[in-house]
Amino acid sequence: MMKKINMKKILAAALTLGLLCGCLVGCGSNTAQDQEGSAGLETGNEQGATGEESFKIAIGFTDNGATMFSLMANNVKTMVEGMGGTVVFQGGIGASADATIQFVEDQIAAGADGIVFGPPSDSVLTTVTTMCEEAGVYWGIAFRSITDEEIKALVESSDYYIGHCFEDEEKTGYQVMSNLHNKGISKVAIISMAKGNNTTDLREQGAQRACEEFGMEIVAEARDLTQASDATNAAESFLSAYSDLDAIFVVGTTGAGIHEAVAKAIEDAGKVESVKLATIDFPDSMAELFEKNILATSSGAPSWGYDPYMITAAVANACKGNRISDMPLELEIPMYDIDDAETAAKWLEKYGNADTLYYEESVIKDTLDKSVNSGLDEEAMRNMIQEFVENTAD
Amino acid sequence: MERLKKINLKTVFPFLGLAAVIILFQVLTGGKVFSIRNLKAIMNDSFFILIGTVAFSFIMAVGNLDLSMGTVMAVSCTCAAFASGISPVLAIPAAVLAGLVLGCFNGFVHVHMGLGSLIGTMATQSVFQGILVLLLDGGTLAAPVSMLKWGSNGLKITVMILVSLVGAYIFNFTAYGKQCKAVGACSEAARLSGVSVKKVKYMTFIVMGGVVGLLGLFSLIRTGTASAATGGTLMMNVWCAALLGGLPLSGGSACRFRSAVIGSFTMAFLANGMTLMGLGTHDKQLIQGIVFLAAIAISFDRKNLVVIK
Repeated sequence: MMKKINMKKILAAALTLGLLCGCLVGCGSNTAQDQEGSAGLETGNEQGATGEESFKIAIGFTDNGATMFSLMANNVKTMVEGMGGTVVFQGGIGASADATIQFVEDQIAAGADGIVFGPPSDSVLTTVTTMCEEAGVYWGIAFRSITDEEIKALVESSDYYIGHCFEDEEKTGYQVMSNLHNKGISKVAIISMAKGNNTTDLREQGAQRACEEFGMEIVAEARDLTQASDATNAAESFLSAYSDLDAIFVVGTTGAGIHEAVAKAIEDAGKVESVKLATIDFPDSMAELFEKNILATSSGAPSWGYDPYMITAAVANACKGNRISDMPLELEIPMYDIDDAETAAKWLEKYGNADTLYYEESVIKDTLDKSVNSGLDEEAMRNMIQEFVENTAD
Repeated sequence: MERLKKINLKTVFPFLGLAAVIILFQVLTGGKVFSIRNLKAIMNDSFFILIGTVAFSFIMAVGNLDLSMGTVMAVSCTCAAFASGISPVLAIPAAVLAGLVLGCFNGFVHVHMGLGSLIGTMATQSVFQGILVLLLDGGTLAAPVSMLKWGSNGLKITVMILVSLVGAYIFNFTAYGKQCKAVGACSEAARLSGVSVKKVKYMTFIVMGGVVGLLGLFSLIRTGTASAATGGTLMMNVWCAALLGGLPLSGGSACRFRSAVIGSFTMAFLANGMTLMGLGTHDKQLIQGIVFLAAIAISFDRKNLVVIK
C-alpha cells in the first residue's frame, strides 16, 4: 500500500516538474521570438527565400483524393513558397461546421498567419471572424459566397477578412439543366449535399429556375452521400422507381467515386441510351464517361483549384503587409461547359495532371506578389482570372 | 508483490501517458505547446472531451457503455437552434431538456427493455439519427448571431471546473457515486445490499443525456450551426479519454474520477500536438485509432470480461 502511494506521489511530482519545464521552454521560446521582432508571427523564425519574414498559410478543404486536389495543392504550394511563405493543407474540412471551426482554431494555435477554406455554411463565419480577429490572422474564402446579409456585414467589417473567390453557383445549376434540356431531357433526379450548404443550395435554385422555364422536373433527390456505395444505392433506387427518368444530375458531392458509381449503376441497369449523367466540377473519369455516352454535360471552373489559388495569393500578400485592397475582394471565376469527349480529353491533358502549373514561378513573382508588382489590385486580379479562363477555353 | 506491481502499473500508466504526451510534443514542436494561443486551443479541445468524459465515467462505473452520445449532442444542438429562433435564452433549457429526455430513453431501453447498453445505445443512436434528419429536413440550422457571443473562454473554464468539481464530489463522496461503483463491481451483490440497481443505472443515462445536452448547446454557440455532423467526434474522443485515463471497461470499484480528468487532458494534448506538428486529418485518425487500441489492450480487464454488459 505504501509503495503504491509513494509511487503516485513520485509520479505527480514528475508530472508537475515536466509541466513546469514545458512552461519554461514555451515561455522561453516566445520571448526569443519577441526579441527578434517577428511582428507577432509564430513562424517568425523562419526566413523566406528573399530574406523577408516568412509567413504560414493554412488551407483546409474536403479532400476526396481526386487529381484536382493535388493540382490545387501543388500550385498553391509553388505560389506561396515563391512569395516566401509556407503552406499547410488539411483535408476533411468543409463538410461540417465542427470540423471547420476546429481547423481554424488548430491552425491559429499552430501559428498560421493566414487561413483559406470553403465554409459549409454562413453560420460558421461569425465564429471564424472572431477567432481570426483575436489572433490577428488574415483569412479568405474559396468557392463560397456569403448569402446571409447579417453575417456578411459582420464578416466584411473585419480588418482580417480578405475576401472570397467564387463561382456563380445559381447560374451554373441553371446552365447544366439548360444543357440537359437542349439534349431533350426533362425528368431529372439529383444527388446533392445537405440542405444549408450554400453552394449546392444555390445550384439547386438555378436548377429549379431552369425547370420552371423549360418545363423540366426534378423527380427525386438524394443528399449528403459520401460513399460510392451510397451513390450506387441512390442511383439504383432512382432507376427502378422512375422508369421515365432521363438523367441523374450530381449537383455537388464531397465523396470519392460518386460520378463513377452513378455511371456504373446506369450501365448495369442497361439504360445507357435512355438515362444520362450530368455533373458540376469535372471528374477525373470525364473523358471515359463521355466516350461511353453516359455523361451528357459537365460544367465547372477552368480548374477547381484556381479558386483557392487566387484567394490564397491575396491572403499571402496581406500576410506580407501588402493588402490587395482595403475592401474585401470579390473574385468571380466564370464556369464553362464541356459536352464531348474530345474537349474533355484536351482539358484532362492539361488539368488532369497534378504537376501542371497555373503560372510559372517567375510569373508568380512578377504578377501576384504585390511587393514586386505594386500595380496588383482587385481589377488586375480579375483580368488575370479572365485571361486564365480564356486560355483554358482555347 | 507481483500483484501489487501490476496494480501500480495500471495506476501510474495514465499519469505517465499524460506526462509523456506533453513532454514529447513540447520537445517536438520547439516549445509551442504552452503558447497562449495554443493553450486556448487545448482548453477548447478539452472542454467537450472533459465534460463528456465526466458524465461517461458514471456510465462506465456501473459497467455500461454509451454509443449514442454524439447523436444526443446533435439532437440537443438542433433543439437549441430551434429554440434560439424564438429566443436565444430558450436554447439553454431546450438543449439540456432534449439531452435529458434522450438520456431517459436510453435508460428505459437498457433498464426496462433489458437490452445491453452496447446494443441498446447502438439502436437508440440510429433512432436519434433519424430524429435528427427529420428535425433538420436533411439540412442545417443556424443560431442567431447574437448567441455566438456567449462562448467566452471564461464561461467555458467556469463550466469545466464546475462540472468537474460537482462530478468529483458526486463520484467520490456521495452514496450515489459509491452505488454506481458497487453496481459495476457486482450488481447482484449491490441489489442484495439494498441498492436500487435499476434506479442507479437509469440515473447514469439521464445524467449523461443532460450533460451531453449541455455540450450540444456549447457546440451551437461555438459553430453557430446544428447539422447531422454535429458531435461526430465526441464518442471516439470520450471513449479514448476514458480508456487513456484508466477507466476500466468492466466498471466497479477500480473506477477513479481522476481518470476522466487525466484522460481528457491526455486526449486534448495528443490531438493538439499532432496538429502543431502539421499532421493531416487522416494521419491523426490513424494515430488516434492506434492509441485507442493500445489503451484498450493495456487497460482491459480480461478477467472481468463476463461482467461487461
